[in-house]
Amino acid sequence: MGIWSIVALGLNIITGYAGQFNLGIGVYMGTGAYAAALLTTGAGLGFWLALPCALAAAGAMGFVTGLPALRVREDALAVLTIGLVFVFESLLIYLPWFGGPVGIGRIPAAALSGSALGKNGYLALVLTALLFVIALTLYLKRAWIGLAWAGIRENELAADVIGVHPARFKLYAFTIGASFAGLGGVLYAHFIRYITPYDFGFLTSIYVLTMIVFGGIGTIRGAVLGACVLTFLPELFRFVQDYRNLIYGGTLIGLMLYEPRGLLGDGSFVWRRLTTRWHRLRTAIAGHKAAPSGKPALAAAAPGVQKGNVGAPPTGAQESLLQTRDLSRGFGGLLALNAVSIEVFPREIFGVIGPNGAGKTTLFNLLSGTLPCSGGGIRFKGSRINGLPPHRIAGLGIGRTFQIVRPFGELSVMDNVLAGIGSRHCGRLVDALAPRGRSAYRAEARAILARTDLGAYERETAANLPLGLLRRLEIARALGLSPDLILLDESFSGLSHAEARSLLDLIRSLRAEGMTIILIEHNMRITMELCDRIAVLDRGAKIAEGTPREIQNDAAVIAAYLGAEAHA
Amino acid sequence: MLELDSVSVRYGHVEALNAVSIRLAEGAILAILGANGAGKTSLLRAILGLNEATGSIRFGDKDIGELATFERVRLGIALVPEGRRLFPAFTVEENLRIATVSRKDSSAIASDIEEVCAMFPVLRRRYRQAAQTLSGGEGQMLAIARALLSRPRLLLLDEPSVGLMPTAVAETFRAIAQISRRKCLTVLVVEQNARKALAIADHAAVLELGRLVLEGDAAAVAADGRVKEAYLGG
Amino acid sequence: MTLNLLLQQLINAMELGSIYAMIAVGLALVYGVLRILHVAQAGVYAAGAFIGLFLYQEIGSFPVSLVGAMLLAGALGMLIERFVYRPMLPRPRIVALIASVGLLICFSDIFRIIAGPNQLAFELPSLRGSYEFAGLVISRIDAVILIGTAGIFVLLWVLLQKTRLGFEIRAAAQDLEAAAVMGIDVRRCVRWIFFISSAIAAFGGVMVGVLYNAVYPDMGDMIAYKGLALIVIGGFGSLLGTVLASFLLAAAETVLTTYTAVPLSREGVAMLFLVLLVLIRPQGLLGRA
Repeated sequence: MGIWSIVALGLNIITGYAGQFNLGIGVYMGTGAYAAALLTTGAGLGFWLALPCALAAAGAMGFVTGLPALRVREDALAVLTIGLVFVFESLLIYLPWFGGPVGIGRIPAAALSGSALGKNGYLALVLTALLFVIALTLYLKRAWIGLAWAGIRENELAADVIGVHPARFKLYAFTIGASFAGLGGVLYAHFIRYITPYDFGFLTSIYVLTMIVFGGIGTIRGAVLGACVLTFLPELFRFVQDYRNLIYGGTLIGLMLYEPRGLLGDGSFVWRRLTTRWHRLRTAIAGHKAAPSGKPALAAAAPGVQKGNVGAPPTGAQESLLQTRDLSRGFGGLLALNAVSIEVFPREIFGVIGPNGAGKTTLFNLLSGTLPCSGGGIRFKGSRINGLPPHRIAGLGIGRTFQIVRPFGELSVMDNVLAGIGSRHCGRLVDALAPRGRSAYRAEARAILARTDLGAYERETAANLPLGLLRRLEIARALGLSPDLILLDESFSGLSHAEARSLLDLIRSLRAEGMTIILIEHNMRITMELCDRIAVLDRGAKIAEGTPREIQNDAAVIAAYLGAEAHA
Repeated sequence: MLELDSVSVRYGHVEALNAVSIRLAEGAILAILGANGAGKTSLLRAILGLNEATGSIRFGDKDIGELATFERVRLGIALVPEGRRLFPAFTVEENLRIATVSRKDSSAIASDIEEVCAMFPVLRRRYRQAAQTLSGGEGQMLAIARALLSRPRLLLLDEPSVGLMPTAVAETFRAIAQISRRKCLTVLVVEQNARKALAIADHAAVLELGRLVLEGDAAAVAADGRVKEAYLGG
Repeated sequence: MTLNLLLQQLINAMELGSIYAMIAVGLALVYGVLRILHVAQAGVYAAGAFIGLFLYQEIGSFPVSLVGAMLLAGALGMLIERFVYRPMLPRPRIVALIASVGLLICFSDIFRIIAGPNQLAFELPSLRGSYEFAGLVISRIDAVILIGTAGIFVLLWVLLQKTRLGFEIRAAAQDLEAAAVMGIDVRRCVRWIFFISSAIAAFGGVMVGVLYNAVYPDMGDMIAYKGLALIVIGGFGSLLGTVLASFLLAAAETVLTTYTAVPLSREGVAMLFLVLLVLIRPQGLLGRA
């Protein structure tokens, strides 16, 4: 049971945490098992020496199989992993080194200081390993890497844009998850002491998947529960052994129909009951405590909205911060963006307006690296950025929000903001493994939440927030990057009058601190009031650029967008 | 003709539409304005049964709340979806014909197709071309023609001006007004381009954050200060 | 390598390819409209074989048994759609995939429980023997399979291109919601799709049962995953691509396992193909990028 729990936890990391559907966990388990078996039988290494080698082998296998997985999306990924399992199984059967279909037998028992571990000893070993793996998983979940994984799982594009390198973190998940599974494999090999290729095939992989789905995908408790229940049941009911597959299959179907989150998954019926009982128990025991939500940070903590200088556009003779030259993007005969050249100076609030479909969001996509350009170039702070992936551009200091909000739905508001902060500090693996409870980071996150008036919602799950708050959350998340330039895509859309006013103030205060802002907007009044300069796009091309006053009086703009009635 | 009573739509925890009630008389054109995310598309989708809506929706005298989408369409409601949603691999001809598959009166189909082609000559020109090769404006014409081919009594249009050149937009709205008059069609237009929509509408309503905040004659709504500020460039 | 041998291998490959195509096309149809990977299709395939065998043993007429198996399997497919997949449409698609795998496992076990774990023989005296043809020998079974699948594909083509239902299905496959908005009863289309793909799968199952003279509970397993591989290789949703991929795979399998010493089982070949293709061209042979 313990062994299967370990393997299940491995799959949990890949599929549950990082959201990469892997139907071939058997591969990693098998790698570990075979590596250990070969090393101990063939090469005569002791158990304790073979163990790390086998783990390394499994991890490497995870890495290698992760590489092709990066290129494919969901459905294809599932199929790909199925394919990998079969190739693996085939290779085990046909390549002579692996002992063929008969497998490897007479694997020596694990030994501790000379004498072989008996049954109880081995049990202790497995339990120790299990506890270790659980602890490690918990730690990872709390560390930055866990947050990065969650971000990728929730919304990969959004994660990319705030600086999380998706490929790299996915590979981490694969490697680490595979190592866990490999550990399970090694322990399995020395427990049963006889392994065949069929032990690690597709059916095995599905059993493990069933375990974590049954218990609750994405949770440690789920993986362990699933493993325990599903290995224990056949033992308990001997007669069930005969119908084992039927029950497995039926369980899968039933679960998917009624409780796809798993028995103990977040939000499942059972888990919610348990947690509400637990909360009641806790508050009953501890007496009445004040509700632990962050202080409503409203007027008090909002840093001074300086009325003085905010409206002043930057003085001339400055180096431009961002510069596009003949930027184009098109496919087939359709040019979404046609040779657009704009220049944005530091501390400017620059507006981009135009009818729907004019190419405004495409422009943002090119600027943030979400889409490659077909022509032209972009310079930011003097260097070329076209062609860079979004997380690199984020790292260079450009943040953005999306027209259709993309929050990390299942994460708390605090975590959403931390994600932005985290990617700034934790690019390297070493940093990524650091715990994110660090007070410094949380303080920074709190400050950002205060500025965007979200302090009261710190612990709220993002998916529960209404649209207006979600827009502010996106801005808060982008602010985590401490960007020099921030791209706001229709952030005012859907806001109430009061909310719009406070967003206006926020933007002005950001500028006062030195940030540059480019915004896409449809709301004319706000655009005219807020922006220093405006560019007008129509059908992919820039048709006008200038101060709000100039734009309002420009004939072409009026014809295309504002309408025939001229305004003072 | 169309009556919505306290219709609400939720996606998860987000309330896209909040107790919206609308009455639309036969033969009238109603324009619904609102920013992105205000709930305009949710409203149209609710009428067609494409989302889970609470509240009552009556078409003619029937309560259509329990009917499947295709049943509502066959009762006489047609939609020109946002972004057209043409069948990309089908030709213009096939896109037109697919709209007629559920009609019983096959004899009238041919003449109807003739009629829409006369209204939108560009369709004739591109008759055998794949729909994905059409430009934005041409695609819009096709989408409208397609909707008309089911001989609807109520025509719903979701942001018809998106992605179109100004001339195409003008043409589109002109066509809508014309069609409505000629066929005594009831029209519900959801638009961000307030100016154009208000110009052809009889009545108008404004949605904000899922709620109906203003309602009345098109002229009155157009003259309203808030509307001018927010949607008409002040 | 004599010409004869080569042609013989060609026929084998084509036969294999036809069988694969039967399954894969059904999968592609379902995927095209519902975006669900209908792994359980293989269960229906095996069910077809069992039903066909059973009917033949009771009735004695092969054509009737074959048709009966196809019809019953079609009904089975519709039941699966109604009770398993339809409730899952609003959920993430991995849910349907897991349920489908569960269903496949259940099927295998049900067969095992009802008919026993051993292989059953499917002897057809009327189909023994062969035809001589310009020095080439084609067994009757091979001929029936090739002609049968060709006939089915022709019928399918006619259905899709020339009938109103086919028109509706093609529209639904491009945009399910837009089809509903056009007044198409998409639920009906989906039901028909499941019926058709299940019936075709059953045909494949019966034919394979007769061909190898073996019907057993697990016979669907490999087919399931190869079928998946095939729709990925062919390009998700492209029927033509799927057919093409089926024949290519069959050819590769035949060649590689007969003439080379590659350390892979036939299944391994299929999957290797898959992995390689995904690396080189993630959208499949004829898929849209």
